[in-house]
Amino acid sequence: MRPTSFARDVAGVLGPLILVTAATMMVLRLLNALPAYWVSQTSPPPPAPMALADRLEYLSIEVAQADLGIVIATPSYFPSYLEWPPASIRGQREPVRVVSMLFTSADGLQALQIRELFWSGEELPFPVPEPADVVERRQVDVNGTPATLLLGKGQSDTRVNQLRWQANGIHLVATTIYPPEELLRIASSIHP
Amino acid sequence: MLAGIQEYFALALVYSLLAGAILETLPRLWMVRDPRLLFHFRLGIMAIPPVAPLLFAPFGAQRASAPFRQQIALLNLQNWLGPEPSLSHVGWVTLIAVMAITTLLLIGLGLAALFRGPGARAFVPAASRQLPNSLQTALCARSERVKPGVDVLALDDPEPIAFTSGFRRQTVLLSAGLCDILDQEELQAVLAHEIAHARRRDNRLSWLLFGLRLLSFYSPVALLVSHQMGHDVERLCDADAASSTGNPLALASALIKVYRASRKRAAPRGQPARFAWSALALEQRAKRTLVEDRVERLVHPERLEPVRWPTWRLALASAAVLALTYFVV
Repeated sequence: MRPTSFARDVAGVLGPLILVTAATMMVLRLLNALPAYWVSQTSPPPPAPMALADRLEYLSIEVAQADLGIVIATPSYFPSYLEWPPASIRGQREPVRVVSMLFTSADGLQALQIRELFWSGEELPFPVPEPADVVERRQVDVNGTPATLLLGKGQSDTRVNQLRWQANGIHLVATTIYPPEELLRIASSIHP
Repeated sequence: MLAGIQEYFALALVYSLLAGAILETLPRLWMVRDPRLLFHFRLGIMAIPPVAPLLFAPFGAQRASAPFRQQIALLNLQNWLGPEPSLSHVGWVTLIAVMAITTLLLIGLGLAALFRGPGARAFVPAASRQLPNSLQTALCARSERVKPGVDVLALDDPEPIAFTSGFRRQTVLLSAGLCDILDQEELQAVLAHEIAHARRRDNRLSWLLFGLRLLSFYSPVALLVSHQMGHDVERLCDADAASSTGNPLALASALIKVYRASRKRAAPRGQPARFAWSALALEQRAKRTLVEDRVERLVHPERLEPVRWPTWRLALASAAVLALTYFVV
């Protein structure tokens, strides 16, 4: 059956429209992906893994505090989808006192890690790993303190967001698989 | 706040490029040749970039969120202008280079105007009783076409000048020099052309385009398109004049006479800088091309096949541009 004049005219209008729109979308997606490709080709190799011994494993926060001689700050906002107490508490004394708490979700996923480095210097004493593929860095504010929010992806292409800030002589690094808004809310409830 | 301004500046340029690409390509694919319809497409190119951010303001928080930027947006400008130093430098250098080229071009054309012949001067309308006879005759012949609220004045100037001015009240000004070089039919044609401008209120359009160019941060796309729209307006008024006089050849002849007379004006004063000279040469070439094009259209008018559903085409194309700009953050 031959297409009617009306159908031909409709095709004549919609065809180019769809073609141009699709082509434009492809070009935009290509431009969007180009920076990540550029960075992967030109950026220096990632820093060596952090020299965090994580040699000491503690059964509870109170035991860690007593052993390391520190006061560990914990979030007052603790979402119900996270399990309390931490699934893992590790610490070290040298070269600086560090404690790392790992929280899991109800279904057993490693969902939130909070590292506290008791070091009053401006820069971290040793590198702390960032997400494997950082797509965005943003300067934010945590209780009036400047912080760096890193949005990225971890292994297996999962979303990983990390927040780094310093408060009362303590460097805090919080890493989570949850959205940055939730991370900021948790971080804002930590008062070392 | 500076980051916000930088982002708006970059978005304005990207939106202009997007609108320009789509709203120039689609009419060509649709074989639209009607200058009125093309004019409206180009008006969309000028209007959409400044209007889009206002339309999307209620969705600002959602569009600025990380999930939207990372997973939904077609183009996230922060990837180009964000904290990665080498890339942000490339992005900003490209933007600044594009704007610098445009600005230099504008400055060059401005310098060319200063060096060309007599500089800017005030036009002094002659008293109405001093209208040249030829102009009075032409005015009588066109009187039924002159809209109430449109004045016709003569300029006491030896140069061939014809233009329309005024914002609320339109005034057509023709110089004595023009009346001297044109015959009666040609003068009527020029008058009809200027009256067409007055009836269309093209001065208000000029101000609108100026405002839209400002809001687009003088992006090259906005400049090119507004320049092209100026040509479109001239062609439309040529068509109106040819239709109302029934004598397109008279207008073509008038265009050629005025162009030749303007070429005989004094050579540039002093020694213009090389850059201004080049810009002047470019401007003269552009003028000649425009006059040739207008004469060609008057002598060999194009038979326009009307396209079906012109309003729907314009609406669909504009909607496509708006939809795509929503996903560019």
